Amino acid sequence: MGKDIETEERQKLTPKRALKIAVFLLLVVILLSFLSTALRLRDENDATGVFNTLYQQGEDNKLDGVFIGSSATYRFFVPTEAYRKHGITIMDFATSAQPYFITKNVVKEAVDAAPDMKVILIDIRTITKDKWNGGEAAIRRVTDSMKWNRNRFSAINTSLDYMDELDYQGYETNKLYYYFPLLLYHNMWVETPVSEMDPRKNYAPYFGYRLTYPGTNVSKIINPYEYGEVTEKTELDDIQNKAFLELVDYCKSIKDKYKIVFVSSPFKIRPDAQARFNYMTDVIEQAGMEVYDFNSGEIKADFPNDYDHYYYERLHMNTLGAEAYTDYLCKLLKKDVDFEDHRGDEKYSDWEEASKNYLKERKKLLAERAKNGSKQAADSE
Amino acid sequence: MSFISFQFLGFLLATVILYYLMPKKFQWIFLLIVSYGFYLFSGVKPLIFILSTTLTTYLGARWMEHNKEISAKKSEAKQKNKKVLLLLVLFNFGILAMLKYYNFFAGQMNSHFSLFAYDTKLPLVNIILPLGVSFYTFQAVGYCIDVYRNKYHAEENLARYALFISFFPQIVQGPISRYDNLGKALKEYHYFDYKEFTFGVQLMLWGFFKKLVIADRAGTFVNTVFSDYGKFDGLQTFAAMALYAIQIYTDFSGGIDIARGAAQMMGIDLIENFERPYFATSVSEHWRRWHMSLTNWMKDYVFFPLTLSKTASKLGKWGRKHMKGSMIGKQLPTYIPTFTTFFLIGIWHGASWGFIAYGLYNATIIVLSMILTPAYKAGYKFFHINVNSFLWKLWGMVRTFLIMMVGRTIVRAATVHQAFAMAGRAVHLFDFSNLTARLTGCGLTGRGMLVLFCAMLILLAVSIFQENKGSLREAMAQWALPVRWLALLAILAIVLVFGLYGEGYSAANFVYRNF
Repeated sequence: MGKDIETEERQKLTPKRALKIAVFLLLVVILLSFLSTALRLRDENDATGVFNTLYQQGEDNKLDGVFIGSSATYRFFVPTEAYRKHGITIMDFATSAQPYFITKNVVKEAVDAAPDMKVILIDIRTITKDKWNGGEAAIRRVTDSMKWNRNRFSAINTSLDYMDELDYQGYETNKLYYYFPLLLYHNMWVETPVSEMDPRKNYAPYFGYRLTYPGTNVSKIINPYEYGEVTEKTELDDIQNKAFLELVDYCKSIKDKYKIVFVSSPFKIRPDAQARFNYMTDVIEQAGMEVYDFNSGEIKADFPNDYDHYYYERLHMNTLGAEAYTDYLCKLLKKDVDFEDHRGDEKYSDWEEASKNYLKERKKLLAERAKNGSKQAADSE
Repeated sequence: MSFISFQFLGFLLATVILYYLMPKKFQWIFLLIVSYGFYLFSGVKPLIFILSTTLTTYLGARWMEHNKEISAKKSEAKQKNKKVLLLLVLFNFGILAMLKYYNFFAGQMNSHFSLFAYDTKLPLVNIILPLGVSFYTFQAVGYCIDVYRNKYHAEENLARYALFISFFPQIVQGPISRYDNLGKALKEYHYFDYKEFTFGVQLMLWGFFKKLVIADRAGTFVNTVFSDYGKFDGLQTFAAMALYAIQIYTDFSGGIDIARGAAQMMGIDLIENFERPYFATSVSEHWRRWHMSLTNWMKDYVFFPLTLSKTASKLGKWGRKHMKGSMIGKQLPTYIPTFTTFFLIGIWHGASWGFIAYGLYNATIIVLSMILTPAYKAGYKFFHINVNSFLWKLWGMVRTFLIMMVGRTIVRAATVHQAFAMAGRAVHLFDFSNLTARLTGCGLTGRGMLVLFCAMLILLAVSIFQENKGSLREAMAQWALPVRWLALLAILAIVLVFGLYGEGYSAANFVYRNF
């Protein structure tokens, strides 16, 4: 039979000891957070920094809007120029190759973080692609950067469901590694320089924009006008359509509170992609929301595009093109939205600072281009 | 379910919480259910083997107990029980032998058949060893022998006995417990004890440090060199051999720490299995510190019975008569038991000539040491060597480590020939030039080697403390709270960051799990 003795020697779980355990567990959580930040996934546009900036700006209620998307956003829209020229504070809330199937979660995250903003722009070039090939890293740029909330878990579950439907191969299917990224990244110390293992919170220096060399790295950008206007409409495939309609439905549920605009930024779009975008335009407009199509119709005709000087390569504008695009987009928005001019307001000193820094960097890049230009001229002689 | 999986940690946490919440009289039943649930993770078929060992040894022990009760004379009961015990040993070791050694035996026989141009071939069988079969079989047979020897009465309750055999923290890789310790502990009611709980967590953390930071990292280096040793020079080969000795120790002892820590969280004390074996100054002492539950089992159930047997006694008399005055004459009765014991230790580890050679290698060293003891003593006297001095003890430790390192290489190498070839390379092709570059060309980056080196230093520091001062956990409990927490958080951070776990790493499961 069992021994029915409780010895006096045992250390019972007193409130003080329970508190010690709780405090120690809290320290463990802080340690995990510290390590997760130091050993996070790093990408060309520092997705974690972008999310941290959103949360910080949202907390301070400083955002007029967000521009959601992928590199079709963060290499096109320059928030500091929108602020400098128009006094508007719209940040690029975009990550590289953002999976279209969790754009809805990204929109929700923005709405939860900055509920008082006015505008939500969504670039949906990724959906018009015939095949998304972002991979696990594209998902993690979003999910690793999100706060610990239900939306994050929803984004993880949705991502894995879609990856399964898309029959994607070679990605992590264990949800634990998404819930706790440190379990995956803990060995990043092997290759990451010590100087980069900074546990301090990082922020996007230009509110999500990635400065791009103000020149081109290809010999010629083919003018999409060569394809002519595309009027056909092609429905998306089942999986893309499902995600697209879920996004539209969610946006429809909040459109009374925000101006929601779906955007196709200007680039050398293929006719089949344009046909898909035409279909999407119909669906969006029927849902009562607006579309800015820079690749067909009035906007395409009106926007002063310069394929010789505004593009870095086929898919992405350079800094010069991005500035022109930003200026045009802001003018479009100002027709319908009454923005407050935040220039000169002390509360927006960080935007002022970022704008100055942007201009400094821009100047450096232009000087570099000028140097390259004279070197090329000398070489060709 | 591996000890180093997140599933196990979740499983353990849930088990511990429920264990303390439930009525005390049901705690052992809960543990039995949980233990079998844990076992089922390894598959349903292996359950047949653990159940058959449990049932046969339970019934056998009860039968022996019954014989003691009904027999008029003790000698009569003893005679009957000897047959019962023999049956139990043959049956259970027979299962173990079939599972572990059949394919080796068949392979050897087939090669001999070919040699003599016979067409006969024994079929090879696809066998997956049941989880912990070597451990629980020895544990069950040890129990039966203890009952036979009247050390304690046979357990009446089958379910309680089944828990002793299947208790989940120890089933993966031991330790091999005795019924009078573990059986008793499992019967007691366990109330939450803050100290036991926190000590258990700390011990598990230390186990993860040894396994994930040191053992698995050293294993990367070891695997690279051992898989293609001809490509590597003497320094690299020597480093691989030394690191294997470290790997096998930290892998096994790390797993034991995790097992003991898990049990301690529930207030159950499993026996120690290691006592800083590389601090031993002789091979004999090494085996008194290494895998102690197995060596004590062998000592109690193989070595002493053989040494005290009538045959040994006769041999001893013959030796003392014909080799009067010589050490060999006195020691003769222990030589065969020593070789037998280490032969069994060798094959317990696995079915290969490497393991047999390993066992015989250790036995040879120990017997030679015994024979040469008078010569050693004369040498110490002649050269005025103070055997109690620190330097002499340090020399003993280094010498013993090198001897055990070669022995372990025999086990790790693909063949015995490779082991000696590697030992030869380590001696003849030794070169200190470009040390860093050559050590970082063996599967580990410079940073990886640095982490390994620092982790081994931490292990060494802790081991020195334990050797001289006793329990580090007890000492830490006296530290100021912030200092203690800082140390624990530091170890946790080291395990989380530098541990080899998760995506990209194969489940480098415990080496001894396969035994």
